[in-house]
Amino acid sequence: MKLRFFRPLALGIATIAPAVAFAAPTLDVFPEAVHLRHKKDTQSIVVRITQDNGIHRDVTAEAQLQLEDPAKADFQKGAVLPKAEGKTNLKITWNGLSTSIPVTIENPQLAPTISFRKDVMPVLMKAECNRCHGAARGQDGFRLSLWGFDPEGDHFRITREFPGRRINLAAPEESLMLTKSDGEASHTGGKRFEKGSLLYNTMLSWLKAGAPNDSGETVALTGIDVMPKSLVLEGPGQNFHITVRANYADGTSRDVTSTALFLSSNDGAAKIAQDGIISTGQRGEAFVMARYGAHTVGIPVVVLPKDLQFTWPKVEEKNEIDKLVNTKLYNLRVAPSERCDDLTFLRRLFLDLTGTLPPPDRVKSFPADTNPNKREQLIDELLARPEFVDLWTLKWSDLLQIRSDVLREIYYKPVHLYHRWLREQIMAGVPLNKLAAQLVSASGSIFENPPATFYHLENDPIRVSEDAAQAFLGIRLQCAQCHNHPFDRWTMDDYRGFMAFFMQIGRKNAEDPRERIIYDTRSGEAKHPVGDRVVPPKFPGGEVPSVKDKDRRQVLADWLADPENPWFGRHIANLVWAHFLGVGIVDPVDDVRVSNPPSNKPLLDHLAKRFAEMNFDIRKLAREICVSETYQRSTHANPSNELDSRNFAKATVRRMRAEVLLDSISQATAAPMSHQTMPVGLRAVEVSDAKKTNYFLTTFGRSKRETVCARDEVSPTLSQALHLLTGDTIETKITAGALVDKMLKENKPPMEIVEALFLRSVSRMPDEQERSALEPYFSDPQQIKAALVDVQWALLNSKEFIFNH
Amino acid sequence: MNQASPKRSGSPCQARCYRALGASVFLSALVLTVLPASAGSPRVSFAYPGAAQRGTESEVTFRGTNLIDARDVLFDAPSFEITKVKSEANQFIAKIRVPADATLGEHHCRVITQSGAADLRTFFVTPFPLVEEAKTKATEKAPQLVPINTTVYGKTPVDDEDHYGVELKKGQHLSIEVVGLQLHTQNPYDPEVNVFKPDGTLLTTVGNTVFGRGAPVWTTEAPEDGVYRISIHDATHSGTGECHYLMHIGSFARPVASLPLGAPADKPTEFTLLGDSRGPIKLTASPGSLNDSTGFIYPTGDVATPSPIPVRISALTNILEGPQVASAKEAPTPAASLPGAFNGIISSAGENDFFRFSTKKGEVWDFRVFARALRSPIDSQIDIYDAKGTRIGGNDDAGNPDSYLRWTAPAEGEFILGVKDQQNRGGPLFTYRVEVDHPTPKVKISLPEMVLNSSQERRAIVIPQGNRYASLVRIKREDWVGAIQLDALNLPPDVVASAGSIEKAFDTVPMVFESSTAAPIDERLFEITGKSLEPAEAPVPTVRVDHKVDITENGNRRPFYSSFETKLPVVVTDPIPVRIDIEMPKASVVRSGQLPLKVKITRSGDFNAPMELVLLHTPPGLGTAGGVKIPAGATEGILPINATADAPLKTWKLCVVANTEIGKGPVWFSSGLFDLEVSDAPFAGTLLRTALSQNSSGQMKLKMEPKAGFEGRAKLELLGLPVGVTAKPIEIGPEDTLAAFDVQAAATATIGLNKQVVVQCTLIKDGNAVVSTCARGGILRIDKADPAPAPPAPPAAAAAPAPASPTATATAPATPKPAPPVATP
Repeated sequence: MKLRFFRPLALGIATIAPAVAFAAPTLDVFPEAVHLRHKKDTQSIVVRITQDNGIHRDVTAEAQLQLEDPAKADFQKGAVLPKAEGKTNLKITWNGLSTSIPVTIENPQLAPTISFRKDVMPVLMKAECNRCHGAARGQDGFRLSLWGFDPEGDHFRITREFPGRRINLAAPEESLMLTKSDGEASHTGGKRFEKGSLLYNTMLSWLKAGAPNDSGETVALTGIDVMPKSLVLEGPGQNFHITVRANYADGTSRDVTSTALFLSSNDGAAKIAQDGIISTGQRGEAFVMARYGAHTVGIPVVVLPKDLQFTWPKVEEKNEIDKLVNTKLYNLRVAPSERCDDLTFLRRLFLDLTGTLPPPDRVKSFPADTNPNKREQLIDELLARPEFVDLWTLKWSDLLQIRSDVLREIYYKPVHLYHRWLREQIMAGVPLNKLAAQLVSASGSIFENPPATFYHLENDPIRVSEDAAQAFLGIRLQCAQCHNHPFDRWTMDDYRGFMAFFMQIGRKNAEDPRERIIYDTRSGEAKHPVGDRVVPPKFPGGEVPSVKDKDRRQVLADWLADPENPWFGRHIANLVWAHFLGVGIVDPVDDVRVSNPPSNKPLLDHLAKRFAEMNFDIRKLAREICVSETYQRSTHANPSNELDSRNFAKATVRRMRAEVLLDSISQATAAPMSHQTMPVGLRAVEVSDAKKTNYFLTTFGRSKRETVCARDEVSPTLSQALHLLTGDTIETKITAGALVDKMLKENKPPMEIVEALFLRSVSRMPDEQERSALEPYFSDPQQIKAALVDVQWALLNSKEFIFNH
Repeated sequence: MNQASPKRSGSPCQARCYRALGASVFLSALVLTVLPASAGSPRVSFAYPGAAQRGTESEVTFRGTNLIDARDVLFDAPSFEITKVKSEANQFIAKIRVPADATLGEHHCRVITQSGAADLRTFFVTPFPLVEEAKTKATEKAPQLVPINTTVYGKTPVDDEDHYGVELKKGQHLSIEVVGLQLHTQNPYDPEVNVFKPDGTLLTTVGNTVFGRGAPVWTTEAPEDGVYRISIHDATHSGTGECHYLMHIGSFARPVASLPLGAPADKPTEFTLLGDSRGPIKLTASPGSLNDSTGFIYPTGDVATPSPIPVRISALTNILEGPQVASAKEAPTPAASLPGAFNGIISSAGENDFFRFSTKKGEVWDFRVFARALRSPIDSQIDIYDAKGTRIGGNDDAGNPDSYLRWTAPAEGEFILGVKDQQNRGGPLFTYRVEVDHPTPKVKISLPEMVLNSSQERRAIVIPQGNRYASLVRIKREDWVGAIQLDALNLPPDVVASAGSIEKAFDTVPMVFESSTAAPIDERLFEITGKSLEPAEAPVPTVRVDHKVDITENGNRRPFYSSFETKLPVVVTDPIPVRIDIEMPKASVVRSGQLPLKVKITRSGDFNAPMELVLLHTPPGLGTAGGVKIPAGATEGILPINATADAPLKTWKLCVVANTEIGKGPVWFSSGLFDLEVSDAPFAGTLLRTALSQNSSGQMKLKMEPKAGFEGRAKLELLGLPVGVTAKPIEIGPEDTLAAFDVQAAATATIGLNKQVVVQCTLIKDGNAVVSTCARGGILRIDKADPAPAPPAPPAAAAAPAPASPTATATAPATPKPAPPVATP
């Protein structure tokens, strides 16, 4: 059970903060108002209490729900039903607590006509017809659009494609659509719903009505609300029911709990039945989602063991980050680890901010410094170093796939200029939203205006738009190229709408064969694969902007750089966070989707907000993260957090990324890198072109930059271990640096040399045990040098060296 | 026969390169693939230093291969004096005296050896003394001090950086001009310059400039007294050990643009030169003497400017831009009459210049922009508007990247020409010139590329004394069709050139250069001109050499730097101990036939080396199996030439080239031109479909329709028979229309349907055998032997009338058994 606890997806819950004293239980009712618009409209009600320990309970069944004016509406089986036009209130009372919500009834006599899109398509999704039959070639001879991206096509395929029994308007009950679904006829997918169920009846009514298609414009579904927004439950065996409302473009909404499809990311912790009732299991976190139309919305559910004994330790909170992390930890009943010691902090900070090891004299002096602000001062000092710029230039270079490829006529010169430009921007502290906007809107010669190389590295508008979405927004749009995204809100319209921004890019040769000119052609459109209609440029999840007589990419760039942009700031903040904490709040960092929610949403919201307030200054954001207690925690686990990997209860042990590791070996051995045609002494993090690599870097996972990848590749492999042990990198560097030789020539005693080697590599002095273990090896004067080189080799092969901890 | 050809065949590189060869219908790909890529010694990669001061003598090292017998350097101007210092296998050191009146800037030269001519390379003439980078590396703190008006040179591989110091007074003019790319041949070099003030702070960084072809060019006034540090390095840190630069550091005027950007030949014109930090310079000058070419303007002043501003020389009248207007229809009046040359500057971003002109309906005009070709940064876009301001035509990049448009006036009246930067940029140096003229017929002559991706191999005429050298010559016709006869001008004494005429449908011809044994050792530049053979059909074109040579190559991709030569190099070298002559074929090559071409090899002294013979080009319909290797000591070679069934019936002028090793690298020499006639086949034969069982005999019949006819007797032979089947040759006379081969199938004859039976016909003409294939695709079916030997079967009904098509005469029944063993008429 413990193993499963931290694995599931998780989301921050801001209801309880450890520093806040909880008051008496509170009562909440969902939704906050009821608005019924026709005779068959209903609204299910959820009554929730929040106990003094922050735990939620569903008390809908226990509570008393009464309509103030019973002539207007009725309350039956947990739902409000319309009776007469007008307004009234629903009063809810539980255990001495009470509240009320307004109820509005309109057109109670109106019987709505059945709509294929609004009523039947949800049935196809809820019964998961369009999952199996949504395969590219359909299933058993019947094809529907995957998750219903093409209602028009689905109507055709159901009603016209196959004359015969698929629907039988003369005897609707005999239609295969029904007999297969209710199990009467043989169906590979088995029984999908009961005869007489709501789904059955909806389908039957539609067939009885003559299987009509919707005429004219149908009101678009704009989104769904799942209520409540988050839950902390005690398990196992508790039930909690949720309610889902669909919102339409005309401002109306309706209860779709009965026709929404429910999913849970962790059935072991919180399972959800198709009637919307969550039942708790073992301790854990789950993300419970409702899908309706093209929209998926999820809520985080934490399940704790019943009567868990937990004491929140006394922890310092430096800033809002710590508060938000601790709130989540408290909700999970997980205690954070203690603060790391000065030497650990020193090494960690040097590696994270500069990609270098702390110099030995700093290792000696830092712990002795009594200044209470010494950590902050060190952070400020390192943030100002050029190595900080190098490290972030490297990360952006990975993201932007900066690499030469002579076969595709991408030469080294533009790649070099692009990298240099990027470094200059980061050095100058150009706000990252402005940097992204410059890239997206770049035109002109790639020599004169290096960011235009963004469009030289990739020509295909499909790839360009997917790369841009992933690099700047953290969104993987790929699925929506051919069908609506199965795990996200993205539709084919979103995909083509985003692609439309990149459809008017002209590329032409320049005088130098290595140069290209990128320009705005003002012509070219994205076409929807269903119906081949032109899809106008549309911001993902946003509006359709006016692009008449404008450079579309400039319009997109302006949107991207807007501090109110819902994606950019969050994505970059998450990326920066992941760099320092080893794991993103959304993780993987470049896979932002509904079904991959942030582990701590309030924290991500806060970072995004702060990042915008900081004018997207990466140094300021890095500082805010580094000064937090969360960043400065020890990697040592306590019993409550040993399995936590997503909630920042302790620091993560991280292998250094390939470039940093190679640079650290060079630094520790005083043997600078000699890298193909690069200047001697250039650090691996400074190399501009991914094509210029070596065996070490390739083995340790240096990004090839062939796809957008915002993550540092640090997964271990056997060849890495073997290369460190038997490969030529460490051996060669030890020989080239000849540190032991030099120090022996200076007549330094062996133990002093050992200390120096420790300081240079693992950034600490040897402890007593290590000293006494090593001492005997220095007894034979002939073997001293060999023994010292062995010590150096062993240090460079140690986990303590290879990992940032 | 050639190591390189299998490797190349079918590679994408090959496909690409063939495309690059253009639309020649004449040049066989064979020539390009069969010859060893190493041919064509000697080679030179670069000269170091790549410059000399005018009026002085200095030592220059040319590095390359096969230079052991180097003796001279052939410059584009005859007045350079060369003295050999030393020649080794990989380098040639020469003293070069540059005349005091030599033009400043870029020159072209080739190293000449006793046995050949090396690559075309650039060489720069500077007005300043040259100083090499210090042997002891200068540092940022201790730069190498040089006086103002010096040309420094050195190498900056990888992260190397050279530092020079120059002392300036406040307000003193400083110009820096770097030459980078043009000095290189294989890899581009991207020099970048940093200038630091005396206090060490950075004054500027100069990288890519259009005027400098990527190299830095910059002028300023010194802000204070002191030593200024000028550092130069490769901007991409990726230069090789050979990458080198020239950097002029001086007080010279350094404008980089001109308005107007052209003028008529020899007519003094006022130019405004732009780009120098002291402001525009006005001067009146004549840009040169030859219209339709590039001229050069040098700013005048106390200190010479090391390179000129290129301008266009043309007879057209200059029209300068008028006041700025917002749209085409407001273009200034009056309308210019064409032809003319419009000149102007796109001085700010987004600017669009408009010129009004008038034309008659149906007149055809060429709008040709001269801008980037003359080092202007503009990326031109031209548009044509009608008088109402509606755009009716235009072009962006047809002139790479300058614009070009051929336009036919749709009506009589006024139209407007718009000029802008395609990227909507602009600036004080964005000058342009749009020449508008009627299309004029031109023929451009060049020597085609002979070796894939190696622009300079075998592209000079190198004639061993008393021997011959052959080269293909290609013409490019512009606005002209017709046949042309080429002629070489200004050849060395006792050297003659011969070539056939180039017919209307062709663009390439072999040209043979022959020197007498008395011809002196010589090298010079010569021209090829041409005379239209069908003047009645077309106007007389201007015929000129326009020979593109890639100096900085880029594999099989667009080169970095090319030169367009108007003259071609010819060298008479030391004699070689071998020559070849064709034993003139007495017979023609027959369609579908083969002719063994006899080549006589005359060796002298103890020269015994093997060699290779190749037909220089194979016209359409003819082919050779590559070339032939001639073993050591052989005095005769046979080069088989094949003709296809549809080869044009005409006489070609051909020539055989040979290459061999004489101890100084490969040399090429040739036979003289010879005529080869392609004649029609004597008759057209059709083999009748035949079936035989194993272990039986029968007849295979040949039906003949006369074509060219023949005299005497012809020997016919069945070829392509299956294993175990034999047929004796037969003889026929000219009057025969039917022949029958006795065919014998052994008991082990391979069973099955054979569709590749052919008839070879051999005629004896003037004592020579003329061989051709006179029937193809004969079908012979071999069936399994019957249990008992079958007697000859009665004739098959369908075979009797013997219709023309063999497939229609299929005599075998659908089921093989029982089958008549022989189909008889």
